[in-house]
Amino acid sequence: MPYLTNLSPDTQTRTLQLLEAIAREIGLLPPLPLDPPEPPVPTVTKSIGTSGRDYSTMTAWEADLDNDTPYDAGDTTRGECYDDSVFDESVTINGGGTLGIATWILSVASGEMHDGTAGTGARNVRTAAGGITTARQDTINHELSLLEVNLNGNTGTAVTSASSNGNTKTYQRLLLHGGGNGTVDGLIVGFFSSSAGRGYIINDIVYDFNRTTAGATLLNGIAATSSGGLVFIYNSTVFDITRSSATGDVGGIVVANSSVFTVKNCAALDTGGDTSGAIKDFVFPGTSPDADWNLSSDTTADDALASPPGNCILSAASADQFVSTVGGSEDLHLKSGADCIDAGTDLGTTPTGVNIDIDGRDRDAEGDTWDIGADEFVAAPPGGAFFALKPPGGAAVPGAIWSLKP
Amino acid sequence: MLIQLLVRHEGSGFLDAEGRDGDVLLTKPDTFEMNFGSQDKKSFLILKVPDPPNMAAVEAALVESEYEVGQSADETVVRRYRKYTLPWRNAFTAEEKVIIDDSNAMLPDGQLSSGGTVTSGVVSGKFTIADFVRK
Repeated sequence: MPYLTNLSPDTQTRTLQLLEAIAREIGLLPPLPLDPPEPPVPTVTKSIGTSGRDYSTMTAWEADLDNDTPYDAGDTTRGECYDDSVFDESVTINGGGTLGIATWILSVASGEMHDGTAGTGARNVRTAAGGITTARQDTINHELSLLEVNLNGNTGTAVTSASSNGNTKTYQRLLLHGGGNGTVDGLIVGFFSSSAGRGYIINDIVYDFNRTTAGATLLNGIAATSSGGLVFIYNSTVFDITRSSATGDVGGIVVANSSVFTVKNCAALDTGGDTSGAIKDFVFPGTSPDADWNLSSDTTADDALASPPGNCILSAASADQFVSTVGGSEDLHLKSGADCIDAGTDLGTTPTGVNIDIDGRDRDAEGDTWDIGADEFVAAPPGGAFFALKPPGGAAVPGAIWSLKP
Repeated sequence: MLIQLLVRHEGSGFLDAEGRDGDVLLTKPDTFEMNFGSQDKKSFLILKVPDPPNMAAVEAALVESEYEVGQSADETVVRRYRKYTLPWRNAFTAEEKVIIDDSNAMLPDGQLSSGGTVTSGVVSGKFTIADFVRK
Protein backbone atom coordinates (compact mmCIF):
# COMPACT_ATOMS: atom_id res chain seq x y z
CA MET A 1 0.00 0.00 0.00
CA PRO A 2 2.29 2.80 -1.28
CA TYR A 3 -0.10 5.55 -0.19
CA LEU A 4 -0.01 4.42 3.45
CA THR A 5 3.78 4.18 3.64
CA ASN A 6 4.02 7.84 2.78
CA LEU A 7 2.04 8.74 5.91
CA SER A 8 3.35 9.21 9.44
CA PRO A 9 3.00 6.17 11.76
CA ASP A 10 0.17 7.83 13.72
CA THR A 11 -1.71 8.71 10.59
CA GLN A 12 -1.13 5.19 9.23
CA THR A 13 -2.71 3.73 12.36
CA ARG A 14 -5.67 6.04 12.27
CA THR A 15 -6.21 5.40 8.59
CA LEU A 16 -6.16 1.65 9.08
CA GLN A 17 -8.62 1.99 11.96
CA LEU A 18 -10.93 4.03 9.77
CA LEU A 19 -10.69 1.49 6.93
CA GLU A 20 -11.44 -1.32 9.39
CA ALA A 21 -14.50 0.51 10.71
CA ILE A 22 -15.80 1.11 7.17
CA ALA A 23 -15.18 -2.53 6.25
CA ARG A 24 -17.17 -3.76 9.27
CA GLU A 25 -19.93 -1.27 8.53
CA ILE A 26 -20.42 -2.44 4.93
CA GLY A 27 -20.02 -6.11 5.81
CA LEU A 28 -16.60 -6.83 4.33
CA LEU A 29 -15.48 -7.73 7.86
CA PRO A 30 -17.60 -9.40 10.61
CA PRO A 31 -18.94 -7.10 13.37
CA LEU A 32 -16.96 -6.82 16.58
CA PRO A 33 -18.22 -9.00 19.45
CA LEU A 34 -20.52 -7.18 21.88
CA ASP A 35 -19.18 -6.25 25.30
CA PRO A 36 -20.14 -8.88 27.91
CA PRO A 37 -23.13 -7.87 30.03
CA GLU A 38 -22.38 -6.22 33.37
CA PRO A 39 -22.43 -8.78 36.17
CA PRO A 40 -25.48 -8.40 38.45
CA VAL A 41 -24.93 -6.44 41.65
CA PRO A 42 -24.48 -9.05 44.37
CA THR A 43 -27.12 -9.14 47.09
CA VAL A 44 -25.89 -10.24 50.48
CA THR A 45 -28.75 -11.49 52.62
CA LYS A 46 -28.48 -11.86 56.38
CA SER A 47 -31.12 -13.16 58.75
CA ILE A 48 -32.23 -11.28 61.84
CA GLY A 49 -33.94 -12.99 64.73
CA THR A 50 -33.38 -14.94 67.91
CA SER A 51 -33.49 -18.51 66.66
CA GLY A 52 -30.29 -19.51 64.93
CA ARG A 53 -30.02 -16.39 62.74
CA ASP A 54 -27.06 -14.30 61.64
CA TYR A 55 -27.95 -11.35 63.85
CA SER A 56 -30.21 -11.27 66.86
CA THR A 57 -31.17 -7.62 66.51
CA MET A 58 -31.75 -5.05 63.77
CA THR A 59 -29.28 -2.87 65.66
CA ALA A 60 -26.47 -5.39 65.23
CA TRP A 61 -27.30 -5.90 61.54
CA GLU A 62 -27.12 -2.14 61.03
CA ALA A 63 -23.85 -1.83 62.96
CA ASP A 64 -22.21 -4.24 60.52
CA LEU A 65 -23.14 -2.37 57.33
CA ASP A 66 -19.66 -0.85 57.08
CA ASN A 67 -17.91 -4.13 57.85
CA ASP A 68 -15.94 -5.22 54.79
CA THR A 69 -16.07 -8.87 55.78
CA PRO A 70 -19.76 -9.62 55.33
CA TYR A 71 -20.07 -6.96 52.61
CA ASP A 72 -18.17 -5.33 49.77
CA ALA A 73 -18.44 -1.93 48.16
CA GLY A 74 -21.29 -1.82 45.67
CA ASP A 75 -23.25 -4.61 47.35
CA THR A 76 -26.97 -4.64 47.92
CA THR A 77 -27.36 -5.72 51.52
CA ARG A 78 -30.60 -7.30 52.68
CA GLY A 79 -31.54 -7.90 56.29
CA GLU A 80 -34.49 -10.28 56.68
CA CYS A 81 -36.34 -10.27 59.99
CA TYR A 82 -37.87 -13.46 61.36
CA ASP A 83 -40.83 -13.78 63.70
CA ASP A 84 -38.79 -15.74 66.25
CA SER A 85 -39.61 -13.25 68.98
CA VAL A 86 -40.79 -9.68 69.16
CA PHE A 87 -38.19 -7.03 68.36
CA ASP A 88 -38.06 -4.04 70.67
CA GLU A 89 -35.59 -1.57 69.22
CA SER A 90 -35.14 2.07 68.43
CA VAL A 91 -32.90 1.75 65.39
CA THR A 92 -31.05 4.42 63.47
CA ILE A 93 -29.78 3.18 60.12
CA ASN A 94 -26.81 5.25 58.99
CA GLY A 95 -24.18 2.68 58.05
CA GLY A 96 -22.82 1.54 54.73
CA GLY A 97 -21.52 4.88 53.52
CA THR A 98 -17.91 4.30 54.52
CA LEU A 99 -17.74 0.91 52.81
CA GLY A 100 -19.80 2.14 49.87
CA ILE A 101 -22.72 -0.23 49.70
CA ALA A 102 -25.21 0.61 46.98
CA THR A 103 -28.48 -0.31 48.66
CA TRP A 104 -29.65 -1.58 52.00
CA ILE A 105 -32.94 -3.38 52.45
CA LEU A 106 -34.52 -4.11 55.81
CA SER A 107 -37.41 -6.46 55.27
CA VAL A 108 -39.00 -9.70 56.46
CA ALA A 109 -38.26 -13.25 55.37
CA SER A 110 -40.74 -15.09 53.21
CA GLY A 111 -43.55 -16.52 55.30
CA GLU A 112 -42.69 -14.38 58.31
CA MET A 113 -44.52 -11.15 57.51
CA HIS A 114 -47.82 -9.85 58.87
CA ASP A 115 -51.14 -10.63 57.24
CA GLY A 116 -52.22 -6.99 57.30
CA THR A 117 -53.21 -7.08 60.96
CA ALA A 118 -51.18 -6.48 64.11
CA GLY A 119 -49.25 -9.22 65.86
CA THR A 120 -49.21 -11.67 62.97
CA GLY A 121 -45.64 -11.48 61.72
CA ALA A 122 -42.18 -10.13 62.36
CA ARG A 123 -42.68 -6.96 64.32
CA ASN A 124 -40.98 -4.27 66.35
CA VAL A 125 -43.07 -3.59 69.44
CA ARG A 126 -41.69 -0.83 71.56
CA THR A 127 -41.47 -0.58 75.32
CA ALA A 128 -39.82 2.85 75.10
CA ALA A 129 -39.74 5.78 72.71
CA GLY A 130 -38.54 5.63 69.13
CA GLY A 131 -39.03 3.51 66.04
CA ILE A 132 -36.89 3.10 62.93
CA THR A 133 -34.94 6.11 61.70
CA THR A 134 -32.97 6.32 58.48
CA ALA A 135 -30.24 8.93 58.44
CA ARG A 136 -29.35 11.12 55.49
CA GLN A 137 -27.53 8.92 52.99
CA ASP A 138 -27.39 10.65 49.63
CA THR A 139 -25.43 7.89 47.91
CA ILE A 140 -27.24 4.87 49.29
CA ASN A 141 -30.66 3.68 48.21
CA HIS A 142 -32.81 1.90 50.73
CA GLU A 143 -35.99 -0.07 51.21
CA LEU A 144 -37.97 -0.77 54.35
CA SER A 145 -40.72 -3.29 53.79
CA LEU A 146 -43.07 -5.94 55.15
CA LEU A 147 -42.40 -5.07 58.79
CA GLU A 148 -44.87 -4.12 61.52
CA VAL A 149 -43.81 -1.31 63.83
CA ASN A 150 -45.99 -0.86 66.89
CA LEU A 151 -45.05 2.09 69.08
CA ASN A 152 -47.28 0.47 71.70
CA GLY A 153 -48.43 3.73 73.27
CA ASN A 154 -44.94 5.25 73.26
CA THR A 155 -43.70 8.42 71.64
CA GLY A 156 -41.71 8.86 68.48
CA THR A 157 -42.15 8.29 64.78
CA ALA A 158 -42.70 4.69 63.72
CA VAL A 159 -40.58 5.16 60.59
CA THR A 160 -38.81 8.37 59.74
CA SER A 161 -36.42 9.18 56.94
CA ALA A 162 -34.12 12.16 57.22
CA SER A 163 -34.18 14.37 54.17
CA SER A 164 -31.64 13.31 51.58
CA ASN A 165 -30.51 14.26 48.10
CA GLY A 166 -30.73 12.11 45.02
CA ASN A 167 -31.20 8.60 46.37
CA THR A 168 -34.18 6.27 46.09
CA LYS A 169 -36.14 5.36 49.21
CA THR A 170 -38.93 2.80 49.25
CA TYR A 171 -41.40 2.01 52.01
CA GLN A 172 -43.83 -0.74 51.14
CA ARG A 173 -46.30 -3.07 52.82
CA LEU A 174 -45.45 -1.69 56.24
CA LEU A 175 -47.91 -1.89 59.11
CA LEU A 176 -47.35 1.07 61.42
CA HIS A 177 -49.47 1.86 64.45
CA GLY A 178 -49.73 2.50 68.16
CA GLY A 179 -48.20 5.93 68.72
CA GLY A 180 -49.36 7.79 71.79
CA ASN A 181 -48.58 9.56 75.03
CA GLY A 182 -46.62 12.41 73.51
CA THR A 183 -45.24 13.50 70.19
CA VAL A 184 -45.87 10.84 67.59
CA ASP A 185 -46.06 10.38 63.83
CA GLY A 186 -46.52 7.41 61.54
CA LEU A 187 -44.26 7.63 58.48
CA ILE A 188 -42.20 10.65 57.47
CA VAL A 189 -40.12 10.79 54.28
CA GLY A 190 -38.04 13.77 53.19
CA PHE A 191 -35.95 14.95 50.23
CA PHE A 192 -33.87 17.99 49.43
CA SER A 193 -33.67 19.69 46.09
CA SER A 194 -32.09 17.14 43.78
CA SER A 195 -34.64 16.05 41.20
CA ALA A 196 -32.90 12.67 41.07
CA GLY A 197 -34.39 11.74 44.44
CA ARG A 198 -37.24 9.21 44.45
CA GLY A 199 -39.53 8.30 47.34
CA TYR A 200 -42.05 5.47 47.07
CA ILE A 201 -44.63 5.01 49.81
CA ILE A 202 -46.71 2.12 48.53
CA ASN A 203 -49.24 -0.31 49.96
CA ASP A 204 -48.67 0.76 53.56
CA ILE A 205 -51.17 0.75 56.42
CA VAL A 206 -50.77 3.42 59.10
CA TYR A 207 -53.26 3.75 61.94
CA ASP A 208 -53.87 4.64 65.59
CA PHE A 209 -51.51 7.52 66.26
CA ASN A 210 -52.65 9.89 68.99
CA ARG A 211 -50.53 12.89 69.83
CA THR A 212 -51.12 14.36 73.25
CA THR A 213 -48.66 17.27 73.06
CA ALA A 214 -49.80 20.74 72.09
CA GLY A 215 -47.94 23.06 69.79
CA ALA A 216 -47.73 24.07 66.17
CA THR A 217 -46.10 20.93 64.81
CA LEU A 218 -48.37 18.94 62.55
CA LEU A 219 -49.17 15.36 63.54
CA ASN A 220 -48.99 13.09 60.54
CA GLY A 221 -50.12 9.64 59.59
CA ILE A 222 -47.99 9.75 56.42
CA ALA A 223 -46.04 12.89 55.60
CA ALA A 224 -43.68 13.69 52.77
CA THR A 225 -41.50 16.76 52.40
CA SER A 226 -39.44 17.60 49.34
CA SER A 227 -37.99 20.57 47.53
CA GLY A 228 -36.99 18.56 44.46
CA GLY A 229 -37.05 14.81 44.88
CA LEU A 230 -40.19 13.13 43.53
CA VAL A 231 -42.41 11.38 46.05
CA PHE A 232 -45.13 8.90 45.15
CA ILE A 233 -47.73 7.85 47.71
CA TYR A 234 -49.73 5.01 46.22
CA ASN A 235 -52.36 2.60 47.54
CA SER A 236 -51.85 3.36 51.21
CA THR A 237 -54.41 3.30 54.00
CA VAL A 238 -54.35 5.74 56.89
CA PHE A 239 -56.88 5.57 59.72
CA ASP A 240 -57.48 7.09 63.15
CA ILE A 241 -54.79 9.75 63.38
CA THR A 242 -55.88 11.92 66.27
CA ARG A 243 -54.65 14.74 68.40
CA SER A 244 -55.91 15.15 71.94
CA SER A 245 -54.01 18.31 72.71
CA ALA A 246 -55.35 21.82 73.02
CA THR A 247 -53.69 23.09 69.88
CA GLY A 248 -51.95 21.85 66.78
CA ASP A 249 -52.96 20.55 63.37
CA VAL A 250 -53.39 16.92 62.45
CA GLY A 251 -53.38 15.27 59.04
CA GLY A 252 -53.79 11.74 57.72
CA ILE A 253 -51.71 12.07 54.53
CA VAL A 254 -49.72 15.28 54.33
CA VAL A 255 -47.78 16.78 51.43
CA ALA A 256 -46.72 20.28 50.45
CA ASN A 257 -48.12 22.33 47.58
CA SER A 258 -45.74 21.06 44.93
CA SER A 259 -45.90 19.04 41.75
CA VAL A 260 -43.16 16.73 43.04
CA PHE A 261 -45.83 14.84 44.97
CA THR A 262 -48.15 12.24 43.49
CA VAL A 263 -50.90 10.76 45.66
CA LYS A 264 -53.20 8.15 44.15
CA ASN A 265 -55.37 5.29 45.31
CA CYS A 266 -54.99 6.31 48.96
CA ALA A 267 -57.56 6.16 51.71
CA ALA A 268 -57.37 8.41 54.77
CA LEU A 269 -60.21 8.29 57.27
CA ASP A 270 -61.19 9.38 60.75
CA THR A 271 -58.46 11.93 61.32
CA GLY A 272 -59.63 13.78 64.40
CA GLY A 273 -59.19 14.76 68.01
CA ASP A 274 -59.91 17.53 70.50
CA THR A 275 -57.39 19.96 69.07
CA SER A 276 -58.43 23.44 68.07
CA GLY A 277 -56.11 23.15 65.07
CA ALA A 278 -56.96 22.02 61.57
CA ILE A 279 -58.07 18.40 61.23
CA LYS A 280 -57.80 16.93 57.73
CA ASP A 281 -57.64 13.45 56.26
CA PHE A 282 -55.56 14.82 53.38
CA VAL A 283 -53.46 17.93 53.66
CA PHE A 284 -53.03 19.43 50.20
CA PRO A 285 -52.05 23.07 50.71
CA GLY A 286 -52.82 23.76 47.07
CA THR A 287 -53.60 22.07 43.77
CA SER A 288 -50.04 21.40 42.58
CA PRO A 289 -49.74 17.80 43.81
CA ASP A 290 -50.91 15.20 41.29
CA ALA A 291 -53.65 13.74 43.45
CA ASP A 292 -56.68 11.77 42.36
CA TRP A 293 -58.51 8.49 43.03
CA ASN A 294 -58.29 9.05 46.76
CA LEU A 295 -60.90 8.57 49.47
CA SER A 296 -61.47 10.45 52.72
CA SER A 297 -64.04 10.58 55.46
CA ASP A 298 -64.08 14.36 55.14
CA THR A 299 -63.89 16.35 51.90
CA THR A 300 -60.13 16.81 51.74
CA ALA A 301 -59.34 13.99 49.27
CA ASP A 302 -60.36 16.37 46.54
CA ASP A 303 -57.31 18.63 46.21
CA ALA A 304 -58.72 20.46 43.24
CA LEU A 305 -61.82 21.37 45.19
CA ALA A 306 -63.65 20.71 41.97
CA SER A 307 -67.26 19.74 41.66
CA PRO A 308 -67.55 16.81 41.08
CA PRO A 309 -64.27 15.94 42.82
CA GLY A 310 -62.55 14.19 39.95
CA ASN A 311 -62.23 10.51 40.76
CA CYS A 312 -62.07 11.02 44.51
CA ILE A 313 -64.61 9.77 47.00
CA LEU A 314 -65.50 12.13 49.81
CA SER A 315 -67.34 11.81 53.11
CA ALA A 316 -66.91 8.05 53.26
CA ALA A 317 -67.57 6.17 56.49
CA SER A 318 -64.76 4.03 57.88
CA ALA A 319 -67.26 1.48 59.16
CA ASP A 320 -68.34 0.93 55.56
CA GLN A 321 -64.79 0.32 54.34
CA PHE A 322 -62.96 -1.90 56.80
CA VAL A 323 -63.45 -5.33 58.32
CA SER A 324 -62.94 -3.92 61.82
CA THR A 325 -62.34 -0.46 63.23
CA VAL A 326 -62.54 -1.58 66.87
CA GLY A 327 -59.65 -0.09 68.84
CA GLY A 328 -57.04 -2.74 69.53
CA SER A 329 -58.56 -5.12 66.97
CA GLU A 330 -58.27 -3.07 63.83
CA ASP A 331 -58.47 -4.95 60.56
CA LEU A 332 -58.17 -2.49 57.72
CA HIS A 333 -58.77 -4.99 54.94
CA LEU A 334 -61.70 -3.95 52.79
CA LYS A 335 -65.05 -5.53 53.36
CA SER A 336 -67.73 -6.29 50.85
CA GLY A 337 -69.49 -3.21 49.61
CA ALA A 338 -66.70 -0.80 50.54
CA ASP A 339 -66.56 2.38 48.50
CA CYS A 340 -62.85 1.75 47.98
CA ILE A 341 -63.52 -1.35 45.89
CA ASP A 342 -62.80 -0.89 42.19
CA ALA A 343 -62.49 2.86 42.73
CA GLY A 344 -58.77 3.21 42.11
CA THR A 345 -56.76 3.68 38.96
CA ASP A 346 -54.55 1.04 37.37
CA LEU A 347 -50.95 1.90 38.13
CA GLY A 348 -49.49 -1.08 36.30
CA THR A 349 -46.17 -2.25 37.70
CA THR A 350 -44.29 1.00 38.04
CA PRO A 351 -42.85 1.72 40.51
CA THR A 352 -41.70 -1.80 41.37
CA GLY A 353 -44.09 -3.37 43.86
CA VAL A 354 -46.96 -0.94 43.45
CA ASN A 355 -49.10 -3.78 42.10
CA ILE A 356 -48.52 -6.00 45.16
CA ASP A 357 -51.13 -5.31 47.83
CA ILE A 358 -50.65 -5.58 51.59
CA ASP A 359 -51.37 -9.33 51.45
CA GLY A 360 -49.09 -10.02 48.53
CA ARG A 361 -51.82 -10.16 45.86
CA ASP A 362 -50.57 -9.03 42.45
CA ARG A 363 -53.28 -6.72 41.17
CA ASP A 364 -51.68 -6.53 37.77
CA ALA A 365 -51.20 -10.25 37.22
CA GLU A 366 -54.70 -11.00 38.52
CA GLY A 367 -56.24 -8.46 36.18
CA ASP A 368 -57.94 -6.70 39.08
CA THR A 369 -59.78 -3.43 38.84
CA TRP A 370 -57.70 -1.54 41.35
CA ASP A 371 -59.15 -0.63 44.72
CA ILE A 372 -58.27 2.41 46.79
CA GLY A 373 -56.04 1.60 49.74
CA ALA A 374 -53.43 -1.00 50.61
CA ASP A 375 -55.77 -3.98 50.34
CA GLU A 376 -57.18 -5.36 47.09
CA PHE A 377 -60.55 -6.82 47.99
CA VAL A 378 -61.12 -10.43 47.01
CA ALA A 379 -64.65 -11.75 47.31
CA ALA A 380 -65.04 -14.91 49.34
CA PRO A 381 -66.05 -17.98 47.29
CA PRO A 382 -69.75 -18.89 47.33
CA GLY A 383 -70.84 -20.42 50.61
CA GLY A 384 -71.45 -24.11 51.23
CA ALA A 385 -69.27 -27.18 51.31
CA PHE A 386 -66.81 -27.58 48.52
CA PHE A 387 -65.47 -30.89 47.38
CA ALA A 388 -62.84 -31.59 44.77
CA LEU A 389 -63.11 -35.05 43.21
CA LYS A 390 -60.16 -36.58 41.49
CA PRO A 391 -59.04 -40.08 40.56
CA PRO A 392 -56.55 -41.72 42.96
CA GLY A 393 -53.14 -40.28 42.34
CA GLY A 394 -54.44 -37.98 39.67
CA ALA A 395 -55.51 -34.37 39.27
CA ALA A 396 -59.01 -32.97 39.43
CA VAL A 397 -60.54 -32.84 35.98
CA PRO A 398 -62.78 -29.84 35.33
CA GLY A 399 -66.04 -30.85 33.71
CA ALA A 400 -65.65 -34.53 34.56
CA ILE A 401 -68.87 -36.42 35.41
CA TRP A 402 -68.83 -38.49 38.57
CA SER A 403 -71.46 -40.95 39.74
CA LEU A 404 -71.97 -42.10 43.33
CA LYS A 405 -73.11 -45.66 43.87
CA PRO A 406 -74.80 -46.97 46.99
CA MET B 1 -25.66 -9.07 82.05
CA LEU B 2 -24.68 -9.45 78.43
CA ILE B 3 -22.88 -6.74 76.51
CA GLN B 4 -22.43 -6.65 72.73
CA LEU B 5 -19.28 -4.63 72.12
CA LEU B 6 -18.11 -2.88 68.97
CA VAL B 7 -14.64 -4.10 68.02
CA ARG B 8 -14.11 -1.70 65.13
CA HIS B 9 -15.07 1.85 64.36
CA GLU B 10 -18.38 2.43 62.67
CA GLY B 11 -17.40 4.34 59.58
CA SER B 12 -14.31 6.50 60.13
CA GLY B 13 -14.51 6.55 63.91
CA PHE B 14 -13.96 10.29 63.70
CA LEU B 15 -17.44 11.76 63.55
CA ASP B 16 -19.21 12.33 66.83
CA ALA B 17 -22.18 10.13 66.04
CA GLU B 18 -20.06 7.17 64.95
CA GLY B 19 -19.55 4.21 67.22
CA ARG B 20 -15.98 3.47 68.16
CA ASP B 21 -13.94 0.41 69.06
CA GLY B 22 -14.87 -0.46 72.63
CA ASP B 23 -18.32 1.17 72.60
CA VAL B 24 -21.31 -0.81 73.77
CA LEU B 25 -23.70 -1.57 70.95
CA LEU B 26 -26.41 -2.97 73.19
CA THR B 27 -27.03 -4.82 76.44
CA LYS B 28 -29.23 -7.82 77.14
CA PRO B 29 -30.19 -9.86 80.21
CA ASP B 30 -28.40 -13.15 80.78
CA THR B 31 -31.45 -15.03 79.51
CA PHE B 32 -30.70 -13.72 76.01
CA GLU B 33 -27.39 -15.59 75.78
CA MET B 34 -28.59 -18.40 73.52
CA ASN B 35 -30.33 -15.93 71.17
CA PHE B 36 -27.25 -14.16 69.84
CA GLY B 37 -26.78 -14.77 66.15
CA SER B 38 -23.79 -16.46 64.54
CA GLN B 39 -22.71 -13.25 62.85
CA ASP B 40 -23.20 -11.33 66.10
CA LYS B 41 -20.53 -13.50 67.73
CA LYS B 42 -18.12 -13.08 64.82
CA SER B 43 -18.53 -9.37 64.13
CA PHE B 44 -18.74 -8.23 67.75
CA LEU B 45 -17.43 -9.23 71.15
CA ILE B 46 -20.14 -10.68 73.37
CA LEU B 47 -19.31 -10.32 77.05
CA LYS B 48 -21.05 -11.69 80.08
CA VAL B 49 -20.45 -9.61 83.19
CA PRO B 50 -21.87 -9.85 86.71
CA ASP B 51 -25.10 -7.91 87.11
CA PRO B 52 -24.41 -4.61 88.89
CA PRO B 53 -26.73 -3.72 91.78
CA ASN B 54 -28.16 -0.75 89.84
CA MET B 55 -28.57 -2.71 86.65
CA ALA B 56 -31.26 -0.65 84.94
CA ALA B 57 -29.30 2.55 85.36
CA VAL B 58 -26.08 0.94 84.16
CA GLU B 59 -27.79 -0.56 81.12
CA ALA B 60 -29.15 2.84 80.15
CA ALA B 61 -25.83 4.59 80.71
CA LEU B 62 -23.83 2.11 78.63
CA VAL B 63 -25.92 2.80 75.50
CA GLU B 64 -26.48 6.49 76.09
CA SER B 65 -25.14 9.07 73.69
CA GLU B 66 -23.69 12.32 74.92
CA TYR B 67 -25.22 15.46 73.50
CA GLU B 68 -24.34 19.10 73.26
CA VAL B 69 -26.22 22.19 72.16
CA GLY B 70 -26.43 22.60 68.41
CA GLN B 71 -26.43 25.71 66.28
CA SER B 72 -29.84 26.78 67.51
CA ALA B 73 -30.88 26.88 71.12
CA ASP B 74 -33.44 24.10 70.81
CA GLU B 75 -31.24 21.80 68.73
CA THR B 76 -29.06 19.12 70.28
CA VAL B 77 -26.39 17.21 68.42
CA VAL B 78 -24.50 14.07 69.32
CA ARG B 79 -21.09 14.78 70.82
CA ARG B 80 -20.22 11.16 71.47
CA TYR B 81 -22.00 8.02 70.33
CA ARG B 82 -21.36 6.52 73.77
CA LYS B 83 -20.24 8.02 77.07
CA TYR B 84 -18.40 4.93 78.23
CA THR B 85 -15.90 2.62 76.61
CA LEU B 86 -14.17 -0.64 77.45
CA PRO B 87 -10.40 -0.80 76.75
CA TRP B 88 -10.77 -4.45 75.80
CA ARG B 89 -7.67 -4.66 73.64
CA ASN B 90 -5.43 -4.43 76.71
CA ALA B 91 -6.96 -7.63 78.08
CA PHE B 92 -6.41 -10.10 75.22
CA THR B 93 -3.36 -11.65 73.63
CA ALA B 94 -2.33 -10.74 70.10
CA GLU B 95 -3.62 -14.08 68.79
CA GLU B 96 -6.99 -13.63 70.51
CA LYS B 97 -7.32 -10.12 69.10
CA VAL B 98 -6.74 -11.41 65.57
CA ILE B 99 -9.70 -13.76 65.99
CA ILE B 100 -11.88 -11.09 67.55
CA ASP B 101 -11.08 -8.67 64.71
CA ASP B 102 -11.91 -11.29 62.08
CA SER B 103 -15.64 -11.17 61.29
CA ASN B 104 -15.45 -14.67 59.89
CA ALA B 105 -14.14 -16.19 63.11
CA MET B 106 -15.24 -16.74 66.67
CA LEU B 107 -13.13 -17.35 69.77
CA PRO B 108 -12.91 -21.10 70.43
CA ASP B 109 -14.66 -22.54 73.46
CA GLY B 110 -12.59 -23.01 76.59
CA GLN B 111 -10.22 -21.07 78.81
CA LEU B 112 -8.58 -18.00 77.34
CA SER B 113 -4.84 -17.76 77.90
CA SER B 114 -5.44 -14.13 78.81
CA GLY B 115 -8.05 -15.11 81.39
CA GLY B 116 -11.75 -15.79 81.24
CA THR B 117 -13.82 -18.45 79.54
CA VAL B 118 -15.51 -18.69 76.15
CA THR B 119 -18.77 -20.61 75.84
CA SER B 120 -20.41 -20.64 72.42
CA GLY B 121 -18.76 -17.36 71.51
CA VAL B 122 -19.62 -15.56 74.76
CA VAL B 123 -16.72 -14.41 76.96
CA SER B 124 -17.35 -14.60 80.70
CA GLY B 125 -15.28 -14.24 83.85
CA LYS B 126 -13.06 -11.58 82.33
CA PHE B 127 -14.65 -8.16 82.84
CA THR B 128 -16.96 -6.36 85.25
CA ILE B 129 -18.81 -3.11 84.85
CA ALA B 130 -16.01 -1.39 86.78
CA ASP B 131 -13.70 -2.02 83.80
CA PHE B 132 -15.67 0.46 81.71
CA VAL B 133 -14.27 3.99 81.71
CA ARG B 134 -15.75 7.39 81.05
CA LYS B 135 -14.55 8.98 77.83
